[in-house]
Amino acid sequence: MRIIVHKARCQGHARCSARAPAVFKLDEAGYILPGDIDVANGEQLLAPDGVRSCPELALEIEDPPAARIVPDAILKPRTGVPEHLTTMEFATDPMEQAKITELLDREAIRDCLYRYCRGIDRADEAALRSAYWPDAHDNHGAYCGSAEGFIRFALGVFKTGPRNIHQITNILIEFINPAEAAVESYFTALQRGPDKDGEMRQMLLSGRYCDLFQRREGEWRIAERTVVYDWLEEQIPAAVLESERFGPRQPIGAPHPDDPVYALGKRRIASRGDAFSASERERRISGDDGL
Amino acid sequence: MATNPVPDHVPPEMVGDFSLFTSPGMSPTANGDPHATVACVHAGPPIFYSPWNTRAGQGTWVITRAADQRRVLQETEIFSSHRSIFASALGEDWPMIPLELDPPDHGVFRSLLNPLLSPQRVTEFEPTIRERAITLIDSIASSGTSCDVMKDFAFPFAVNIFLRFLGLPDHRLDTFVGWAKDLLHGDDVRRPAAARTIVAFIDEMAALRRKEPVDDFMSFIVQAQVEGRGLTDQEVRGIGVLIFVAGLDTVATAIAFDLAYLARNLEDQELLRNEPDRIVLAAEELLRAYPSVQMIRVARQNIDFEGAPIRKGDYVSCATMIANRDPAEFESPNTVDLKREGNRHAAFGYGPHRCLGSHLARREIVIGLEQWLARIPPFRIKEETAPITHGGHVFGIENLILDWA
Repeated sequence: MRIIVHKARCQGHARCSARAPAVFKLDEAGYILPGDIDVANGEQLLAPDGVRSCPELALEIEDPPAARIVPDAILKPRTGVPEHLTTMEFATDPMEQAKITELLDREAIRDCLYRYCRGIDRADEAALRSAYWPDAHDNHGAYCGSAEGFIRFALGVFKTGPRNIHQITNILIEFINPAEAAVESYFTALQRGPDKDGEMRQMLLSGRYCDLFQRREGEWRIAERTVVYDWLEEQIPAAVLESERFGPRQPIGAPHPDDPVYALGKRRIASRGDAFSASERERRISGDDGL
Repeated sequence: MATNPVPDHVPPEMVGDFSLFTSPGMSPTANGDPHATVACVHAGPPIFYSPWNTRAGQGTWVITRAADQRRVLQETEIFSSHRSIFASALGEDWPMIPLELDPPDHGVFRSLLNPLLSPQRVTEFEPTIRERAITLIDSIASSGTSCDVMKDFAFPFAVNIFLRFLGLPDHRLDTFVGWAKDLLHGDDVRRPAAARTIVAFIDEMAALRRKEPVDDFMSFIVQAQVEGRGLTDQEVRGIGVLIFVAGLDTVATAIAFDLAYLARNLEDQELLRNEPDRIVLAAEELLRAYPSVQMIRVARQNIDFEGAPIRKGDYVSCATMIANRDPAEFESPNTVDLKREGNRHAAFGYGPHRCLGSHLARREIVIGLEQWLARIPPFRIKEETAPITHGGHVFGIENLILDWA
């Protein structure tokens, strides 16, 4: 990993060095030493935190063409490592490397789509936010504006205790460039909750999320979303309470943090902060770090 | 309160009714949360004109996004910090140094002062800081199960360290804090009076140290050389006054806001008490959530900035408490997340005028919290008391009675 130092922008906040002192060396006055930085293997976990903590945006990670080394156990049995290549050669070959990167990107995009559903269905603000870039735009039926505004709108709906089930199928990912992808995903949504007059409404909706995904600092999220509607069916909500109707079929899905899925621990699922740092850490360990 | 006429070049639709001075929740409020109150501007446009947004009641443009504030504060050729804000209280015109100098003059003095407060240098103060914290807290712990954090800990801790750094006598702490209070929050009579007192005091200290230098900040300044010459009396005064007013009570305010947060959020209090290694990161998040300063720049030229027709001479406000709640920069900005990473908050400003004392301030806050949590059992805000908070040019908290009975 290589870090580009925009020395002229450094104002001596020393946040980088506070995070990773071995990577970011300061002069006597507390400003970063000039020259780009080649990060040693042992420091690759902390260095990106140092980069991200610069208030002046004076640091930048150069996109690494570095070799990724993938453990044999993962690759050999199931993927088509060509006979004439060792796993090592396969993993460091630029062509194969690009394929692996694309697969990882596709998975990251899929995860992001699912996090959105988790956010809406479990009234989980962190999961919902983690699907969008902070400056994202959302054209979402009656709502059109900043994703932040949509999230605030959703938070208001969550307070009414709705029942939502969002399912994603048919995900078509087309890369525009290494950092942008046009993504079409079909959704089927069952939605029940009070309308603005307090009357219970139930709806079957189907359509497609048409998303511009962007990759920033290695992470994929939605930058622009347009929801296209293809099907709408108003249903008659059941008059009987859920607990009665479900009978012995327990537990019934609940909002964050009460739903049983959150009890699985912080491994993958909890809130976005944990989920992300965990998966990112794993990606780095198996990937960029060359471990 | 009367509203100033809006300048002709400001389109009426860009005028907002928000002000750090006059909006609801900005005057002293029991159990107030002025930081959360100002966060509401993010529901509006990224830049607007506030007709009443300085102590003197002038209008300013208000920059709400962190990215735009970064740009304003970095681009000193367009946005100047030369305002003689202190001297104007005396009807004079001289800059506080280095804050009110623009580059390249700024760099000359900044380079002179940087090493005095560098991260490395601050490490050398650590034992003194820790010892001071322990002495104060042990005395609080042994004398009861309640205290007024401002009076008993935050001020005597932070101001004492600062005075020691400057080489000023500790026993006059209350006097100095009184001057600073009058200067920041006093009326038309007390403000100029405080300003005159501070100038006279700095001049006197400088004269004393010129005669008989000791190992302190003022002796360093009067003996320093820039560009092959000694500093003029006005430069010494400009530096002395700035350091005095900028550093005196800011850390105390930060510590009080932090302890108030922890007193109201017992889970986070327990987290930091059980895992003190987290305090360094947590302190950054608390700096993000509860910063205290609004910075103002003056446009040196006409510029259309993000759709706003800023004209030469217009004031442009970069309030740290607004940037720090920007949803485009911080995920869930109104949630305090003590584990937040990559926290590029604006508490110490952006650009070449970044707070010179930030490294000292950070160490004091971290050590203050470490020692407090290690020595005081789980604490809350004392029943039937309410901390009084206020907005304005510098946000603050006036009293904080904690209880751990």
